[in-house]
Amino acid sequence: MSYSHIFGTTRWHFEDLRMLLARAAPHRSGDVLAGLAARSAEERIAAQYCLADVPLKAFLADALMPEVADEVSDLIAAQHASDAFAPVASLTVGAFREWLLGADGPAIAAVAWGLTPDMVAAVSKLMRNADLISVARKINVVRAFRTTVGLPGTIAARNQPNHPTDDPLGIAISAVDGLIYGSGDAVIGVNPATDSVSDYIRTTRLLDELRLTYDLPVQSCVLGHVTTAIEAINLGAPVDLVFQSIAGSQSANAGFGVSLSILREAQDAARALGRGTVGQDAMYFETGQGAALSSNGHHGVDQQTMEVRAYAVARAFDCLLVNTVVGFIGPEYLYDGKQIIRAGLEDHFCGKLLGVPMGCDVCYTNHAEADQNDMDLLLHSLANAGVNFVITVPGADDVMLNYQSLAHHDLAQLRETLGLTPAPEFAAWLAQHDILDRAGRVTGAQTWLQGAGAKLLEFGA
Amino acid sequence: MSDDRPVLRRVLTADVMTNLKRFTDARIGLGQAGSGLPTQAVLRFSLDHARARDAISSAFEVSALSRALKDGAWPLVVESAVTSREEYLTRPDLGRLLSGTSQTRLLQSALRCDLCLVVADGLSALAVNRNAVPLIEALRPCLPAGLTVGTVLLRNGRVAAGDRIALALKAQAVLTLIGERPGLSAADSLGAYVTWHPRADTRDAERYCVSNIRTGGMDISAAATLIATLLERSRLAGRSGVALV
Repeated sequence: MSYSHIFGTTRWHFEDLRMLLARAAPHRSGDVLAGLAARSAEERIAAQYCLADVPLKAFLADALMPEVADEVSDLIAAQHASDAFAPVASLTVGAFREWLLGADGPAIAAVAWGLTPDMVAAVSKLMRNADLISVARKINVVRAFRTTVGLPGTIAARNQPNHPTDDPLGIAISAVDGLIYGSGDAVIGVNPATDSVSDYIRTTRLLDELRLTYDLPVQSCVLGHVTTAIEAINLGAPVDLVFQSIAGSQSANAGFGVSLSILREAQDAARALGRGTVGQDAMYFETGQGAALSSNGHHGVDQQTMEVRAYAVARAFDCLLVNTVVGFIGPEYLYDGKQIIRAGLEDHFCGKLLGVPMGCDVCYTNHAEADQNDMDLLLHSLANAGVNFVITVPGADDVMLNYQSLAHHDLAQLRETLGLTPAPEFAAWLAQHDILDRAGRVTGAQTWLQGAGAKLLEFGA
Repeated sequence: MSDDRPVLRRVLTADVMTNLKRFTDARIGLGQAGSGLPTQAVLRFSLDHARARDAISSAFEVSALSRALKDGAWPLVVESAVTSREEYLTRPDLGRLLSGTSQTRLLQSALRCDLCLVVADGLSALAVNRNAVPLIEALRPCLPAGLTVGTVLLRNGRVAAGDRIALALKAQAVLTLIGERPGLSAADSLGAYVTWHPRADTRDAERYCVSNIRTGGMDISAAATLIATLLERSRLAGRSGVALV
């Protein structure tokens, strides 16, 4: 079905829903690269006017990419629950935006399985940044493994102790540097330098020894390929969380070397280990706008809508953590701080609306028109939006992946500024070792480091 | 008076962490001011980021490189289909193509070579200005005696544009030296890509890559030896990169 909108004597025409969504998207370089972006500022707003009048039901009747056989599309169709959809079934996209602004958290959470990614992407395109923050803040998605992540009033962090050569001592030192600023309650997660099974197992064992040595109530993860994780589990490695990068179409997922069935196999393997204490949510996914286009698996769909389709994949699994790696992909997809901030807020909102335990890697590369000031704004905005977790590295500098994320300090400063606390299990550990004082402020951990530091060198042996 | 002054919450790094700094390049043990970063840590990060940013917009020193690499009619100077630095960053598709003028000039050129050596600014002209000439000088003695080499300077180019240059000049192989994305620890890393029998649609997996060539990274002479080895391996196998199953 085609759509159009008239301003005065100009008639703006959009050949199908896919094109309407693309033209209505706030400006970003990736949609320009794909040839999908609105060709003028007025065309973008015409598309938004038009989109505001589209009934949500139209997204059920009109498949976004009908010419493509795609298991993600099939999954999305199968996920739709008409009873959950009922409260919003009669609304247009524009009216749905207003419904979201007025509804309370439980009412919004109740429609999650009635919404499709296309509806969620559509409404986000009509929302200002403040709308994305205030609506997301009403939605709590709480998950657990050894910590409970996503409780109101908390913000967790992935402690990311990457090292260019996976040196065990280098990883252990970096992890401890994060612990003393209160980072690690989402996960202690390492991006491995190689994808070999033996290296995966070696680093998995290291992180588990670290946990046992310091009696940490946290989970660990080596972010290798999902098939590497399955192999490591079969070989008896102490795997807590299984990681995979995912995207919003079957062919983009094939570009990552995965399918829904491989992900199910991985989840079964992780679950069978039963290593969680307060929960068994054992999957960890990363996503990011532009991933599908970069593997030519976007099928003419704009990058933000494609990203929301990835959350349909994520919500089919028991995830502890899902995060968009928002600024990592580079300026050809998100050009500057303005585009990265907008995308980070969209991704978090859309994930939460679909019931995904959403976090964000607040980050950028050196060739993007962005700096730490932009990251500060995105972090504080996301914290206001109730983001489940962020990622922190020593001094904001990831020496292995060569990009900038947040510093552990940024997390500590944020918690102090907004009165947010770590996940309760980890907060208790931090207090017990005087790493946080009674007011919840980081102390520098002088006492704990006396004992912990001595043990650290053993990881280099 | 002094009793009313606020307590300065400035925590120095524990000796334990200071002593561990020698084991990692990560920015550990920075200390804290309140719960935030100390001033010196903020300034050091800003300096490293500033250098990376400057490297991305650094000028490609075409005249100096042309003089240093002068070899008969070589080097030729060409440009990609990109028309500005901003477009270079946002349109990788155009960076992989040659401009119409450059394409025509190459096709009309009578120059021929076995190995086309493309020097491209990429994301850090600084890396190329600094490292390309020493690397080429170190590489030449390592190449087979009969091999003819033609050098081409490419402005605003991505790796795949080298394939098109080699195709236009009917070269058997292309070695592209290109400025890598600057990191905080180094802004002058050079990357080298070896492609045997390049095509217009060569996949990334069909190339050999040597990265982080710079002082303090992979040194020039080691890189030259490795590149020569990869070229010889490609010649013997009749292809470069990962084998297709």
